Amino acid sequence: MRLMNRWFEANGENSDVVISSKVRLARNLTKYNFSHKLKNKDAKRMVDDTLSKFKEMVEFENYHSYNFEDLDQLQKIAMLERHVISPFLINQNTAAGLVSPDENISIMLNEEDHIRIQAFVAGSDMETAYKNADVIDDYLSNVVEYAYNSKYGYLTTCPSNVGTGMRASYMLHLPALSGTNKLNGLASEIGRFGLTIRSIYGEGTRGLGDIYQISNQVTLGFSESEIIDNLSNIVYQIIQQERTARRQYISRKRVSAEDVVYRSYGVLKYSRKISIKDAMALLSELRMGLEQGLLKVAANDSFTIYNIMIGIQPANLQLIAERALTEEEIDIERAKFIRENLPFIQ
Amino acid sequence: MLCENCNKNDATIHYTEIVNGGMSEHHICSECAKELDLSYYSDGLSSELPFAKLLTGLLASKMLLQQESNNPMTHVICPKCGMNYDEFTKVGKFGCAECYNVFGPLIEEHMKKLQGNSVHTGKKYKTLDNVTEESDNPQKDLEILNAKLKEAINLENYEEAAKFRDEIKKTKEINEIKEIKEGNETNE
Repeated sequence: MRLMNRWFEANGENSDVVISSKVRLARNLTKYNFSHKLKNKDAKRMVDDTLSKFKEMVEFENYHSYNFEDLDQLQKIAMLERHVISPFLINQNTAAGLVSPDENISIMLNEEDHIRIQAFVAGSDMETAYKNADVIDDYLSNVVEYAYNSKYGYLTTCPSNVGTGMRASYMLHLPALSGTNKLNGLASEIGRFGLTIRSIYGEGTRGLGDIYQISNQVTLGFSESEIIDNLSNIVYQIIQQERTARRQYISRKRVSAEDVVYRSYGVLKYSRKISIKDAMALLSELRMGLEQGLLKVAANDSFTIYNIMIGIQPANLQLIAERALTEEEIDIERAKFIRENLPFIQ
Repeated sequence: MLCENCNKNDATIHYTEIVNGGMSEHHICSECAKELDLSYYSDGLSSELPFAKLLTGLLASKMLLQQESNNPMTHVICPKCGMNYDEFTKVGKFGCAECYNVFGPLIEEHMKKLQGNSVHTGKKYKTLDNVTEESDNPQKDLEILNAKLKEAINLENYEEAAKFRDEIKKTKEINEIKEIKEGNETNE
């Protein structure tokens, strides 16, 4: 029995456009060299020492802990696909961490910085995401000594993180804006505000599943709340633009819009094998259709399209199958996963 | 125009970077652009990567100049992790906390260019002994306020700028009163 919904199984504020809000804090210890100057032996000591310190804390008694020593590659990739660990961490030989029971909070050890704290919240609620990460940061600072100076703030491996060490990012579903090629203009526009936008899964100009991440680039010289306010203001404008674009598209060609959504549903629900590219594109169409009320499904609370998007990634499918699969087998398993998890039309 | 990174080839890529209203122009040859991964910039979906690489690029060009003039700073080595200036400018990453003291002063201008600022104003760290790292330092407060004022003007946010101007005035007055008081105390 699962008590709590993970962030990707919940619908939060403005969930028609915003999938999640995430805050990541980068911290280093004074005692050890930073990652690329850290010898293997010292990395192991840093990871083991720090993990055992954190594990002893009452605040983390419900948390799961992991050590890369005990995980195989497939398990790690599945964690990556669920956003529990980062792409950087997965390439480290030595790493460990703690994960909250709902997987919304993750503490990674031996990332690019010694400690990376990340907190996810469903929908647009960056304040809560920051509060959750900040509390963890306070807990940790009670048992380890951070590298910090009053001029540069929290000292990080990369100059692009120094100061607050904070990266706040909204994950957005922008099918209407990316379908109408309005995103490129937007990208250069938001650069003026010290923000960056990038696609999460995609390569090329259109992100796979039309999922984009917008985050702050500047980390020094502003307080955490100033950075979040600035980011949120821009993101709320983008939400409005996406909504306008969706409404225009639907009001102009209602039947065509419905047709696309129903066809997407049909292919997703009844195909027997499907590629990741096709599945993500169709799920994106379906997500917009559901949010705009073009189609209704008999779903429970924890049903989200994004959850399916995570579930159909290759490593997760192989984890479910409990073995390595060929590409064709993955496509078959993917179609099966979607069939089983997509509710019927109401 | 020569490439600002290698100073050898003609610059073929020209771009303007704007961070918090501060504009900087860059001219780079296609070979260096490849190395610096600046291709990411062109599609408008820049990842975290180019930012750091850009720093190394800027530093590398600076380093060449400094080597020519035999600047003694280029012989600095971090006593804690052994990072030297040459390596630092290549990887663009700090090797340990001490590196910030060793290389910090050398890259202050670059930090300003990249981040738009050079002084931390966010969350303050309490050490294990529960001591806040920062002491009451009016001079530093002024530094921060001045930086914010400049920022606001750059962004043409004059309402904010006026606020900071008033705050600076107030802080200066308080400082003066403090100084007079302290002067009186020592006189007594």
